[in-house]
Amino acid sequence: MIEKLRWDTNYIIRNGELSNFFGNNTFQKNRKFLYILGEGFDPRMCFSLSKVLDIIDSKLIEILLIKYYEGNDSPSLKYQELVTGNMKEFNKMVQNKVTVNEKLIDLWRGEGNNKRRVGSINAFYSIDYNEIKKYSDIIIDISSLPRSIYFPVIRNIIYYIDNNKTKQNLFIVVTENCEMDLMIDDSGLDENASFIFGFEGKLEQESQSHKQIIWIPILGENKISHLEKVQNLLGEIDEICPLLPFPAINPRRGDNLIFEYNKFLFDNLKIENQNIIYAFEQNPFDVYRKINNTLLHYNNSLKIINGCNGVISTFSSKLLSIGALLSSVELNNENEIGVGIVNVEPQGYEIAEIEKFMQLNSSSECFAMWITGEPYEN
Amino acid sequence: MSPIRNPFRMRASEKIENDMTFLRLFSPVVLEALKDKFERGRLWDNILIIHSSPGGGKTSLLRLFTSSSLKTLYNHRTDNYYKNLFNSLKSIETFDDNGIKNIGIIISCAKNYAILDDLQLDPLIKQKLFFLLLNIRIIIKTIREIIYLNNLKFPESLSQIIYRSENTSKTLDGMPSECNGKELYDWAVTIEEKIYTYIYNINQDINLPFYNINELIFLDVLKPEYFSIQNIRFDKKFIFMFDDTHKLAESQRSKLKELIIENRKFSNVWISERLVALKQEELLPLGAYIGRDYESINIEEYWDKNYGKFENILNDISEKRVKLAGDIQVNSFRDCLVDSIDESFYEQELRNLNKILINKLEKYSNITEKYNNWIDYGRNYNGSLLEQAINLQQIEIIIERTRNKDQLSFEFPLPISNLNDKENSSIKSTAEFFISKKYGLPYYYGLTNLTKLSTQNIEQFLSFSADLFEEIITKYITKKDLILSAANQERIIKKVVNEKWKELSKIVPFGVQVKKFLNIFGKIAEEETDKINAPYAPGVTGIGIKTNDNFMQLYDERWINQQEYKDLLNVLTSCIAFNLLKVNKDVSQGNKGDKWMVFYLNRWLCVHFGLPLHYGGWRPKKPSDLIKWIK
Repeated sequence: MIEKLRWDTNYIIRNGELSNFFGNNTFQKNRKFLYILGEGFDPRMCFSLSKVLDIIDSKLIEILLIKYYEGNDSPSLKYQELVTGNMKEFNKMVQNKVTVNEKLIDLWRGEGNNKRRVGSINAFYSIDYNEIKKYSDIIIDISSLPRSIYFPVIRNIIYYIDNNKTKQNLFIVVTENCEMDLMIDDSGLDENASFIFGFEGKLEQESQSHKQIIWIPILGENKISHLEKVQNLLGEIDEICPLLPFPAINPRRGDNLIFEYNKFLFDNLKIENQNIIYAFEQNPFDVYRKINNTLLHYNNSLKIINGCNGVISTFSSKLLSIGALLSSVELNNENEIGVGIVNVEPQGYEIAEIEKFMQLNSSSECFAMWITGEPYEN
Repeated sequence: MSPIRNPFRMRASEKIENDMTFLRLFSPVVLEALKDKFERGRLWDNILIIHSSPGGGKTSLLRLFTSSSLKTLYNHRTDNYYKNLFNSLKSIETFDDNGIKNIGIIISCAKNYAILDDLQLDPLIKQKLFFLLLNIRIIIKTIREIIYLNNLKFPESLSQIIYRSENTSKTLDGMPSECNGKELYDWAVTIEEKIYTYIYNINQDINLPFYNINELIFLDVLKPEYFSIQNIRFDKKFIFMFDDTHKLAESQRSKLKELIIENRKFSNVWISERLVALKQEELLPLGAYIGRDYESINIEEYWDKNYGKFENILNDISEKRVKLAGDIQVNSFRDCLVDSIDESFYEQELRNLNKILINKLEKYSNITEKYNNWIDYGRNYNGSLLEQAINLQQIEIIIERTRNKDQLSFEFPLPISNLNDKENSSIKSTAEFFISKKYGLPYYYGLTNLTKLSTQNIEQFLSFSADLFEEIITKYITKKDLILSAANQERIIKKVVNEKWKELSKIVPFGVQVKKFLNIFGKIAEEETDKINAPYAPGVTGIGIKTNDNFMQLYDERWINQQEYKDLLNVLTSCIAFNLLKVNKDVSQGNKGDKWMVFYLNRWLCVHFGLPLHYGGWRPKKPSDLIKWIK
């Protein structure tokens, strides 16, 4: 029985506050930082890293660069120049200053009709505790990592820290820019939705299939095909509580999403208006709390008929996704209720207007969420 | 629950939560395919493999046989809504006079079996892990179905089930042979949880009882006679239904099917899967023989051969759904869709059209007298303006066909009987299509064409019907006549098609290549269809690849296995998986013994490319031709 939510406070460090926080000499004393990030075409890849390297003494940092191989057929291959550009910038930042280790994660296995996605399972097993135990602070920058990779990696780091009762600090960093997100489209969706490895909750267990299913779709733009695939996967869904980002930088964003998904939500899913949840677009802890409170409330109310399990789909910004991740990690860990995270993976991505996309990066904002460590010791 | 505004937007039957709604919407005509097997004594105590494309109806069919659906149906068997369905199931001995005879246990293969194959483990361990998980889940599911069937409460009533196995030599390590339902259920749940712990910690040593596992142990340990409830022996038979087996890893799927066929032991085992159509083993059946070792139903092929029945199903489904509409009163969906053009509305266009066609025909008489009688016949044809136009267009097609053949014949006017001999339904259909396409009359309208547009797929039918019904709702709200004109229907259908086409490259893997491929396919189909002599009446909508190509056999290597055709295989596989192409295997055409695999465009793509909705016309292509379409 959860009496107190694990992350009931908002340890968020935003853009301008990074210097004050990480730049503090007292904070940096006797520390060793591991900065994990992904290689990708998104110019946000190095945005937060550049700020951190400006603030933290480079002797104290080591970097783990995750490379992932999308396959020869990926539509993203046409953005190889952008990847090269990012890596040039990266190398300039780190050369002769910081130790960089690399990890390659294959997203695919097999060929032709036997080709299968293995990104999440490879990511799940990619990081061993022995690799991270020597660092006092782990910063994972998810700006250029796909969901299927950063979800299992973060989940395992939290589990390692919890199970070994270390006092390591874990920060999740994301460079947020909604306008840039809108310009990236998934291309070539997988035929079916599936649970991210390590985030099945208990949904795949036959012994749980008699329980009610509560689906919380975190809504983002242009994702109707994704939502339909999730609906196909889940089959019988007992309650649906769409989560809308509000407050949001664009105050009409929630309305626009309701308009976009009107037929799907109200004709197809037949949801009730009072089921809609609102959470602050830029505060993953708010998302986490709203999801947890919703699921725990349902589980409590449905105890008389064996309780429920939750499913979250998060085809939206990474900030909102972090809230889903935290919710799933906590509730699965407590064994109170199973919470699965379902995903629909694309083969690659398409960018609408590359020049405009690159220019927009100047208005990106960096967010760091403090997940484990000192603030939580008591 | 809020009233249903647009019942066509409700997903296909298997997604409908409420059993009563599901049963009400389920059409008994679907069961005709099973009845045929039953009458030959091949339905029960047998293996049945059910194939269809996504949305084709296989999971709905399986759901019908679960205890929940059968119980609901039995309890309402005299109700008008359910009577026909009940009687259909009774006629194939799913029910008898005492109640339910056979109950289905659905085992979804979409659950995470395939990831077991991705674990870094010895292949033999992975196989044993797969079969252990599968067997455990079947045990759990079976116990629950027995509870539901007997109107008992789950999990409180588990201990009212008694399990007593008579064959202790064939069991899982640690499985109790004599216990109550709760003990058996709890044991199975513990094993399932252990498996999950193991999956996330494969480097740890967790004791699992799979070292002695007989792969299909469930057939031995789950005999109905081993169960009794409240001291009464369980007298139903189980149907073990493996749904979506194509979602298993390749090695899991082939091993499962192989073992089921080898070990069937007079059990009812049904396997539902999607045909990928390009797998080696589907082109060359290995080992097992259909008819002897198992029976098979391909749902789309069944509808192809029984098209009238499929039309009845869609009509039935649409009429049932319309009655669920909460806020509007519509008696019949069919009646709201006109199935002919209002000639009075198009009178001027038709008169102009007839003039144009007569002028075209008269140009032939400037060259030769041969067709003068035919042209006079067309000019003086006694029928409505539309009938005249169709007749004139037919004559033009037949003249063009005749011109190409009769170049050396004498130049005297051919009799009308000669024309009548050459007329047939294909040419008439082509004529109707030509005058619509070339002269701007609507073509894609009416329930008959909507049925063709569905491409034997119920979900697709519902997706188009939903938008048409949306228009009916609008008319109802604005107090207008609910009838949708031909032009209005076509406008809505084309809008839906347009949206589907725009989304294509986004949602389909290899989307850019798929679109390239389809664009060339459509262009070639259009060129062949639009030929004035209509050589492949009513039109070309398919391409065929020879499957017994001697060249390929000589080298014992099929094109699907060659690296240079990898991209083509990816495109075709995507198209089949996403219902963009419909596959007809083993089509005989050409020389004796020649077999072809024919790929037809989904009918919605025919609308996109301006093609007719009939099947039949296709052009042969080599893989070496098709690969160029993608480059």
